[in-house]
Amino acid sequence: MFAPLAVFGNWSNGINFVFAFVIGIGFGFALESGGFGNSRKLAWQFYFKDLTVFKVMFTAIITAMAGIIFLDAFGWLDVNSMLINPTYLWSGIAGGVIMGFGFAIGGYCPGTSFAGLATLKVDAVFYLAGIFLGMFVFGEIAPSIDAFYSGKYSGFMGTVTIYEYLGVSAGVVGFVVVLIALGGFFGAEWVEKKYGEIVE
Amino acid sequence: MKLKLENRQIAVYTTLILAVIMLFLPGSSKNKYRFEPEVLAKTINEKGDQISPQDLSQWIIEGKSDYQLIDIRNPEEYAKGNIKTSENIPLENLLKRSTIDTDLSDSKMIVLYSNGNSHAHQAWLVLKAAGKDAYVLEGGFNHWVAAILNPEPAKDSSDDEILKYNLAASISSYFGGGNAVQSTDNPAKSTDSKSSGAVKPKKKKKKLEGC
Repeated sequence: MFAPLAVFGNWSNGINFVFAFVIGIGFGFALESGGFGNSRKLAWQFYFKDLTVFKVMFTAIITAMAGIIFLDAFGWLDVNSMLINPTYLWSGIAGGVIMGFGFAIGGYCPGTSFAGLATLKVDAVFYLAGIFLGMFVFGEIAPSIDAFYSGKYSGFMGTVTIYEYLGVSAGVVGFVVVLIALGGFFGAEWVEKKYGEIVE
Repeated sequence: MKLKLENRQIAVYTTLILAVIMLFLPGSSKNKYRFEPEVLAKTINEKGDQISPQDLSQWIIEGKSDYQLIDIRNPEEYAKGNIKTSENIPLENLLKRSTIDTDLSDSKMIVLYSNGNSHAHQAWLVLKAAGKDAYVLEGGFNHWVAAILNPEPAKDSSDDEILKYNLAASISSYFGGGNAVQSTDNPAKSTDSKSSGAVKPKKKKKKLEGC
């Protein structure tokens, strides 16, 4: 468990797992109640018929982002002690493309497939089998493509953030992302009105 | 005048107001200097403050780019001999705040070395307090010379020992070390290994048994 929930070394692994369990259950519950355990609802966004997933995800992103920016401004949260995953640009893009294909084909992303499994959806079972198969295949070929996924050609940039990269304050990036999100919402609603077929 | 707002409008306007406030927030302070004795003590106890010469030589040979190797000795000593991929920032420059903020990477590992250990460890403390991911090359340049450039000869003629020595010797020759040149038949090898990016242990060589 990492900041802001745990300060370095203060908690045992057991406590960390309890927190992870509670957060995981909460996340799964939220996904399922949002209808995200249903692969049709998830897949429909790629056909511009139901953009609920897009809107929910974007809302989550800007809510978390605004929360972090404001808490940091109030001095209640130390952004510097938060875990930021290092960026491997090229391998990240390749992974995103593969994941996107899997999402469009399978109708789930990894998180929602577990929510689907919890309600015993057959397609979630197949999707998870695919995930484990993919992990196995990747594990087997990983050593031979090391240069691409973590070595010379991975586009390693360290732990960068967009605002540090551009040399502006976090709020400026936040402002732009909010505008993009609002544009996205209106765009999504417009698209839904045109092609919409909401899955209940 | 009565103002009527739908929920959706309220949401949009609230978001916009928050976004505009966000735009003018000063942003997180860049001042990361802080001293955390417990964290440092823990790192030292777990030997998380050191990088062994063997690991470092492997990184250099593999061409890893996620670390910054810094020689903190003075320029004269640096000119006499240094480790490949290192850059020379003498201690007195290194500990300037401007150097720490601009010349040292926040995201890469910073590996420090001097001749011995103590200066590098003093610099390490300062860099850790400055929030850098800093390490010290175990034993400094002196140990590097002993362990990497002049590896110990094989203790006996068992296959394991000879293999170990050959590996050490080929690493040594990559870095232009003394022993290796004598013990390998082929002096062009160091350029070969550079291009292939890997040092492979040579197969057993009878010649070495006398070492």
